[in-house]
Amino acid sequence: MERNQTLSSTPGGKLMVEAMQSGLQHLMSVEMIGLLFVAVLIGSFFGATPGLGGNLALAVMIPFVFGMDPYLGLGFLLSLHAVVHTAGSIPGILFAIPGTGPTVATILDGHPMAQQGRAGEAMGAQLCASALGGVVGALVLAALIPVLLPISMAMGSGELFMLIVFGLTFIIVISRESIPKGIIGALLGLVLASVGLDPHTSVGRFTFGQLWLWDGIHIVVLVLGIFGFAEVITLGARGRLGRISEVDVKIGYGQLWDGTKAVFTNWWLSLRTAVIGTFVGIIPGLGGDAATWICYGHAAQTEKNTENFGKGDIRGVIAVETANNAKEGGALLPTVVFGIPGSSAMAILMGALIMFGITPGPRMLTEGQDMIWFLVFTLVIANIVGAAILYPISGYLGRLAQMRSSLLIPVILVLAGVGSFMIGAAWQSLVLVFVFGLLGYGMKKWDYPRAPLILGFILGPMAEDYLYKALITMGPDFLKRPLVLILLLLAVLSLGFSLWSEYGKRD
Amino acid sequence: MRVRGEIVFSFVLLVLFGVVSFLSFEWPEIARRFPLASGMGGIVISGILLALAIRRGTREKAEGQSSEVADKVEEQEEKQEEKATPKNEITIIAWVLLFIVLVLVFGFWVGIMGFVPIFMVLFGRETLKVVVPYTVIFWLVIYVVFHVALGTSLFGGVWGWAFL
Repeated sequence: MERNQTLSSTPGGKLMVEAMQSGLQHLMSVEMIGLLFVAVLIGSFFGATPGLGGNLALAVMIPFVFGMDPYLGLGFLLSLHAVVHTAGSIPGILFAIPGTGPTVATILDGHPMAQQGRAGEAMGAQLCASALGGVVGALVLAALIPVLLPISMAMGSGELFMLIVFGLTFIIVISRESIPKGIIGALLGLVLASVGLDPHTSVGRFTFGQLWLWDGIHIVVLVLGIFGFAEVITLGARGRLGRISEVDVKIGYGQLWDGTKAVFTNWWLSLRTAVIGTFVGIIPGLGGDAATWICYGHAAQTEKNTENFGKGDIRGVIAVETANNAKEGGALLPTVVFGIPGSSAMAILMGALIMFGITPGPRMLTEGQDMIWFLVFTLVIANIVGAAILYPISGYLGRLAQMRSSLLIPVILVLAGVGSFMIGAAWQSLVLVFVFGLLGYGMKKWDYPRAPLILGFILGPMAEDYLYKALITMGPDFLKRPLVLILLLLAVLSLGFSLWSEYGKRD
Repeated sequence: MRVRGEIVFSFVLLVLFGVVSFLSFEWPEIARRFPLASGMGGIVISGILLALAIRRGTREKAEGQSSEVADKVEEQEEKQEEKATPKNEITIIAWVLLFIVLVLVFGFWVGIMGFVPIFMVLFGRETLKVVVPYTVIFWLVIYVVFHVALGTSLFGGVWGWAFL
């Protein structure tokens, strides 16, 4: 109740300036600042430790924010997520071991720089470019909010249903490994989402007479299994319990400063790649890998004297890192404004929004705009604070790549186990999270992308609900509404284009 | 082994979607719309994937590489690339299962205290000098964060050992 009162404090017609002030006020509390620092440190740990990454960080930390004020909880999660990729590049530069997926491109120039004794310079550039990218991404997101407001006002149940159908077509894009396997993942998500009492008929679906299944499966239990337990099995199944890297690197502050200066010397490149990264991030499903590689390619194509690209050119690091953090601002836009997660991490974050009683979608622009501004400001501050904290400790974080798996596995296992019990409030959640862990590991091993499963799980119930409401109020005629038709056309075009580009590429 | 595993996984998915579709038929139309559509779609696509996996397996055999030889080659490659081997997979899954069982029987507080050192010693080959302080500190962190700070009452196991 208290949560809803806090959120409904933004009436529909509230001026944007007031919403901005309200969002900023929520960020400026002592608790929020304290949590932000903690989140930055935890995010750095998950980012800099190869094999962990942002999805796991979010999944494991969601139980900690359960029951918190939504602003504090979401601020914590977003801050954590914002720095994961910043820290993820550190082991990449030092040992050529990417901490997270999208940071792979950083290795191309970052690691050769480290081999040339310029590790500090590469890390200085990386940290500064990440902070700059994150800030630019958040500012572009802020600039787009007024543009999207009138569109969101014109949406009813029919339009929202079709918007979700449009969102589901992005499953094709995030299923680059295999489109049929991606669709299977999404269908599994839809099936798992339908477990529990049907809200319209009160029929128990897949409950098997079990009372604890009446409320359905909690998104966090699913995520902890699909990502948390599955990663534990992946780590342990490698059977290598030695250190990930034996190399020890020392970094001087002079080098860090030189790298930082290079970001501003190449300011035009930094700005360009940050803006490109943001817009790539807006397209749901394209993901961080696309943003970083597109920007690396852009830098290599447009810059002068590119013969050292791939051999230790600092501009390669700058282009990748600005895009890497900028894309998060972009990905936040479809997540909160349209209810379509821009990436798998955003799908988990969307699950957290739902956990706090906030329904992402066009209504956020009218009824929860202060929350959007709060998220924008959090993204800006977390990126700056994250980089500032990482400057002095980056050398030490690099040593996390030397941490043994035998020390990591129990920590993840216990946190995921405790989290699933707290959220599910039943011992059966532990069994469920284990089953989902096996499913997640199987999906990972046999190249079934896991992001579509989360996408299907989140969008499924929304689509079902909006379709029901549209049919009850307008019947099948809702399909004749102009905006519904436009969205349907967009969905068909998106599906056709994705299939054409995917199969065309293979041919 | 990889192809064989994929065949099993696809088959499990096919059965799962079959069960989903079968169960959905009993519900009213509004309630079954989405699960039934998902189940039917799943049957078709997982059926195709299963057929493709079987065909790939048959083709490998036809190319003269018996499945045992292929498995050995693959296992060797996996070892070199530090990827998962079936033995390691079963071992780690058994460890995860042990953790779940310990927690279900003895509860979180005892389960964590029991699992962490056993895992570190037997699976990780860590010395007691590392294991003891690591377990104690980790247990205390969990206790302070969840019990003291968040005021959570964690599961006490079937024996009700929620003494904290």
